[in-house]
Amino acid sequence: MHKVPLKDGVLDMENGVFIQIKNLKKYFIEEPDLLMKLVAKKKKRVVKAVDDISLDINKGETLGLVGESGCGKTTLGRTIVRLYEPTEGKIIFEGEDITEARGEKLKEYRKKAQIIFQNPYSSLNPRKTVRQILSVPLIASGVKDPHEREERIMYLLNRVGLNYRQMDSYPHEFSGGQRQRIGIARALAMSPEFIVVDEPVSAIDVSIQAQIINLLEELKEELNLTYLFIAHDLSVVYHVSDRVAVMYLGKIVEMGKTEDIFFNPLHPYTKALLSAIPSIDKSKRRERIILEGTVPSPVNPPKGCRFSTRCFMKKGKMCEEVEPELKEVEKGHFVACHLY
Amino acid sequence: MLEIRNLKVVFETDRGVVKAVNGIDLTLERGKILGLVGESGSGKSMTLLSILRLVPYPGKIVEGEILFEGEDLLKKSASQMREIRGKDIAMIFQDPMTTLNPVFPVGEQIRESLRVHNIIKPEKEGILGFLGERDRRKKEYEKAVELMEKVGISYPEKRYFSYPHQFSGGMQQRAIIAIALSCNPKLLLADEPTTALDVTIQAQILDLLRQINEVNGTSIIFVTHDLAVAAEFCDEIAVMYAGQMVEKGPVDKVIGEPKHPYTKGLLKSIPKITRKKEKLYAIPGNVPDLASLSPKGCPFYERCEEAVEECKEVELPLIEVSDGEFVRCIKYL
Repeated sequence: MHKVPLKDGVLDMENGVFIQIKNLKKYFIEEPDLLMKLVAKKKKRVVKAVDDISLDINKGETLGLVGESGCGKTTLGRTIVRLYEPTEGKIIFEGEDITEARGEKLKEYRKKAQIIFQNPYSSLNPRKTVRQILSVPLIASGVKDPHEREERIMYLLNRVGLNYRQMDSYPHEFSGGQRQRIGIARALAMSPEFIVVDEPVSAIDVSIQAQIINLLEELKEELNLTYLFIAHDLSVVYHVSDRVAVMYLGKIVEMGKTEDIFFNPLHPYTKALLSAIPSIDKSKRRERIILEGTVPSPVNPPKGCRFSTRCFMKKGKMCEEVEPELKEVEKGHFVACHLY
Repeated sequence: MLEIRNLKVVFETDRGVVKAVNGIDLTLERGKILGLVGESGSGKSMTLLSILRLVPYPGKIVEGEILFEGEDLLKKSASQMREIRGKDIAMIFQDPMTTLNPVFPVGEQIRESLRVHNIIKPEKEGILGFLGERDRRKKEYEKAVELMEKVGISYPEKRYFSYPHQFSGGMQQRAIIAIALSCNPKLLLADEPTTALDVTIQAQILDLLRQINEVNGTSIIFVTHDLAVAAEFCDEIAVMYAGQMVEKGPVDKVIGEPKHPYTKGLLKSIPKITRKKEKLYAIPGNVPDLASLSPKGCPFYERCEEAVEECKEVELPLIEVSDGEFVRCIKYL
């Protein structure tokens, strides 16, 4: 693929900036039909799932993305691999703007950027055998010869720890963990460089979760992959990530090295989130900060800082009126909060 | 106050008889919180449902005794059970969205439980009962509002007439807890009450349940697959695997010094937030399929790293290793 270096010199391949997300927005617009508009005076609703997010992902790293349900983390992941059309902003992959890529160019991008879905029960077609499921990406990436395809499928199944004899089985014949392995094999079929891993273990039994996490880490080492790892389980994110971004209501509130985020959280939301993790080790338990209320609706996010309605460290008027920007307060540690 | 002896629940399916619960023994004292930990299919939810005799068809309880305050629940008639359900023993289910009825206001659903169990008595008995109806309804409404306030639903008068879809997941779970508390139960059964919720909301709900336990002295059986939650919340923990109890004891013992290889493996495989990152330990193999499980020997045999030849054959009881701590493993025989 032809690489176009950026004019303003933002892209610095030597430092390994691999994917750049610039001011990305994804709004879901709910337009009521004419009748409802006239009769019930319903108005257009805009759900701001991802609202102005900028981040870089370096080659070979794992960026963890955490946040509560409805904060837009899955939407962000899906928008990056272009499963959703971004409303605004830019996605730059290896120096190439793929925000509006179409046709062949999009196909090329899809070969390089793949996704592993959260629910291994709904992400596999129940009427297709494993062989059929894994053939689709192989055909799309140009493996036309059936023998070669079969060999690739055998290799893939073997790589994710499944028996190739199960190639002609249907998804229902596998357990949850095994299905997730099929999902991983499907993502690997394209030999991607970048994978969005969307909550890979949240639907899987506890004793199997560690197997899947280890498999993902091994694959990353072996195939030199880059992950965007989305999860709500903070201890899993801590374990796999090099850097972590914390999302709240469509915005990134804090981003930095994993150790910085977990041992020196700056944003009040991150602090509360970390304190809520139940821990096995009694001595490690942090003093619990119990947040009041629930996450406001992304249709009408609060004015000013979006966390101001639940914040226990609110400074006053400013928090309710001025939206804080994501600022670098320590090296590589970004926070969006008026306290800093 | 609750004692379960040798409980067995089987499902007769086309693929043979599945022993969902295979000889469980449990005791729960007043005011204590017991955690039942296990994976899907380990029989933890079935144990809970058996206490209320709500095991779904084709499952049935084939053996055992469930003594609640000295009386065997399995010998009660259907109408006696209806009295007990919701009044003496209440249950909170996993998914709040599917537990509440979507077509009735939340407050009315709380009031329904007050009405069914006659918490506010009618002024006149028998045929003239309708005379005080309006007054009785008002009192029930007030009680429901009070309950909503108690579980932390803000503006309860307004929220009384809201429908479940207008509540967030955490609020729905609070409403369900309000229903469970409406008759001031002696025993609360909680089946993964926080699994469908976010961490910050989970912390709120656990906090609420702990308050209920402390203030009302309600005993709680708390089913979860999350060992860390159980470790923080419970007084005692019982670990289940493939329909059997493999280890039980006080929290500090089970979490601090696990004995059974399965418990040890589970604890090791949880990622921990410590400065040093190591490769995770993973229990090998898959969760067993109960229908094709060998009837003899230890069900964990195939995945166990400390297994010996005899494990395949021996039927083991729960062995008491120290005061109040039990393990089902050949190593402690």
